[in-house]
Amino acid sequence: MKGGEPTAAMVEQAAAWHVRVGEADHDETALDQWLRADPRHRLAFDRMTGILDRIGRQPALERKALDMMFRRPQQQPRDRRPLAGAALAVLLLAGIGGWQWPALKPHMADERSAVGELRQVTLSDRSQLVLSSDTALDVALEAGARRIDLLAGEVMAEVAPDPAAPFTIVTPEMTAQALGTRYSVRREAGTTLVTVLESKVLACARALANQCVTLLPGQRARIGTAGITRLPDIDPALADAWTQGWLAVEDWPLSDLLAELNRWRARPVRYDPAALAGLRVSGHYPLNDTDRALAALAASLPVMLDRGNPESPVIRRR
Amino acid sequence: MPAITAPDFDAFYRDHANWLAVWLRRHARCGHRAADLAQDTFCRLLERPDLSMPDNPRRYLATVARRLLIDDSRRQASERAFLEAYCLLLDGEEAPSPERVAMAVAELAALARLLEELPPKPRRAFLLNRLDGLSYAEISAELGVSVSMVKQYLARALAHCYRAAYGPDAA
Repeated sequence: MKGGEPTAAMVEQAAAWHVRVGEADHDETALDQWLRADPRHRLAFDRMTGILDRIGRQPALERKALDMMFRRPQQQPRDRRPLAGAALAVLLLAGIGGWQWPALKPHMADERSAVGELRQVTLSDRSQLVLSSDTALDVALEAGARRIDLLAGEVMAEVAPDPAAPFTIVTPEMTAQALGTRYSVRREAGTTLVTVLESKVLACARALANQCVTLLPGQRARIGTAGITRLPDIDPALADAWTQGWLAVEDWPLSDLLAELNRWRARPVRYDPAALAGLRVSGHYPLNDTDRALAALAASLPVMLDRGNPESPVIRRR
Repeated sequence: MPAITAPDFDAFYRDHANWLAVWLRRHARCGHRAADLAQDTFCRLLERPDLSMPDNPRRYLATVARRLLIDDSRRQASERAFLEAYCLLLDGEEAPSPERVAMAVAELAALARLLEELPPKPRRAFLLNRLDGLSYAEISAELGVSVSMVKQYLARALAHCYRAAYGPDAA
């Protein structure tokens, strides 16, 4: 065959071109040039088009079957039966109530923190909550059940033991029931992240009533409408530094750190993630003085802090 | 190396059939399935283009049997998923015809072979994009990763599917 088989590099390039074609503003001329440069480019690109078409033209039944084969997170623990009932009951209650999440709800919340504020709350059952920046939640403590509705932001709960009244944090995506414990729950772009520091938590996806995962110290899970995804474990000592007013990170991309600092800033710092790619950071950064955190970054990395416009500082590569 | 003759094959079968049956029963966990797969494994040997006896017969048989076992598990998983999907989407309808099931299983197993060895995140990104038509930004929110990571996932998934379909290991 003229030209032969595409090389491994050509296959990678063809895949990258397909991804670019999925964007509204892709460069048709550049793609055309690439395709013309070598017949193997076109071969790899067209074969990929064939694979995508083959998936795309599947009837609804096959699509659903593929979805069930691969989309659901696999390997749920099987030892959850005795506990699932309680969490399910919370779920059903919430469901019957026809729960709504109007955008205004956070402003009427029982407890809330401002941007940049770290707030501690002691509940009447002596459980302790720490609210992260820009967080809102409702508290309902009753004889048989203790329930926190996390409306926005992130909360760390240190639960006072009470076997007669299960303690559950609820978001639109999930329920996370403490089995006597310290854990944090955070809402993020339509998903909820649960991190356990002590003891155990039973986290259940609300979209899939029977899907639950038991998390141990250092374990994390992200729960969205599509189910539960386990994340890599984290050092519990780093995970709760924010409750003391510090952000502790180890080998994070700089842009992730800036995004996290921005959660604590009324005037976000601006930056271009692409330009900062490859820069990684480890360390402790003060959350009550994020300007100082930014200055520390500028001092230790090849970046500069541009305060030309105090309303919106900019971090850029030097 | 000499070509296989009928007596060779008989001897080969006698020497290894029992061993293969035990190997398959241990790996297939179902007697009937193991017996079918043992037959298929010996058939593959006869269908080989180079017509010589393999140098290490048991390693060869185990390699072929393992591949058949994987193909078979993939078809079973495909059939289970298709029937479940049928129950969910067409509840109360008549059961699908055997031809419809066979068609779906063949297609799903072929697609599963492309997708199964992908790490979970790139695969989910790919399926959200191709099955649900989610934009890169929507996938980024769903998976909790940056848009540029989503693009990396998608490119990786597509290159992986390509290699599974056209690479040196393609069936």
